[in-house]
Amino acid sequence: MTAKQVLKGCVLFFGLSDSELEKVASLAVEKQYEAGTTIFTAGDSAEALFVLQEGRVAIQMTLPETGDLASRRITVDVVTKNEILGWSAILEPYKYTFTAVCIQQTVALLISGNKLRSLLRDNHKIGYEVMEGLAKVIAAGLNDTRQVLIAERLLPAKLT
Amino acid sequence: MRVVLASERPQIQHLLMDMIEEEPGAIVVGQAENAIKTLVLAENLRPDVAIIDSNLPYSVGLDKLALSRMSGLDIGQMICQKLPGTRVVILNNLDAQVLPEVSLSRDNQAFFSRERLRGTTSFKLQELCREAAPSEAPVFASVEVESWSASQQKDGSGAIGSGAISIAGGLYLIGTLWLAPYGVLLALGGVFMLAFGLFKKMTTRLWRKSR
Repeated sequence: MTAKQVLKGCVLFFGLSDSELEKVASLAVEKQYEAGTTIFTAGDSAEALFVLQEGRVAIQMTLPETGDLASRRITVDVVTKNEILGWSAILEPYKYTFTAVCIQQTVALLISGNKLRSLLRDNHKIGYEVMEGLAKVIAAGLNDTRQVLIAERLLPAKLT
Repeated sequence: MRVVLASERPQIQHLLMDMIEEEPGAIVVGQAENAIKTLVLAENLRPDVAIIDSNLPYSVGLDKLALSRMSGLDIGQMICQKLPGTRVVILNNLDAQVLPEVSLSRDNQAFFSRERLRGTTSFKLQELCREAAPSEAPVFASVEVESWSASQQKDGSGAIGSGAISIAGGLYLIGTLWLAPYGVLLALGGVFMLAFGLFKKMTTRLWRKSR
């Protein structure tokens, strides 16, 4: 599968024409990761945006040590095929806010954050479409989180 | 080798139990259906191996919400941190879409497998424990299920069937007289294949019993 085809299946790039997709695809490099690999860690400089071609990646947040509880990681989302990872690469302050760990062997397209930001600045049409896609990704994530919150609120009633 | 296993799905628990108990010296000492119970069992029982489904709910799985079943990795990492003597295996392909109920039949052959960039290898838990001391990171693996027909090929049933067909074909050709020499060859080939299949079936049964 070519980089352009992979991008075409990703919600972030849905609004782009073929020629615009080619411009983004020219910035992308394919990379494979073994299960268990940490792709990036919270606090790292966000060098790249990832589009998953295959595999599953856990997005983890590190909870600080509190009282008796040692510091530990909590999975807050799992990213799968055609989804994006590391959108901090296009939003200030360009630092990853979560840690990404591969649950399965993963193949991803890496898009350099610097180059993508330049492209979005220089080409307003691409910039608008990608930012609209990003808003959809964030809204979908927020909606999933709300669903979990609602289901948790209903839990005591369900259990009794 | 004492094993704790964790999965929300009872069918997966049964499958894993069968797989583990086929290994010599391995025994399942505890089973959990959520992350909290897995941690409590691991802390109390101090197993050699903890096998954890990556799609594990924290306490209960919220119906149809995939986001509520993401605690397998977290609890695996926590056990690695808290119990350095326990080897943690995270199973990463046990969701219903990848491993449907139909594939969990006891007639099918299931085995653990590790996917790496240089290829996929199947493994036994004992090999994993012998490899090295438990590390701070979990081992990621999957459960592969071999269909009945594939395992039938392996245990010799396929050869028996082909052998019988060859013998029948050979006898038919002998009956036509002018192709008799070819018929004899075909029938002999069939007899050989049938004998091979029977031998393989017998050794596979003995091997399964000994495990």
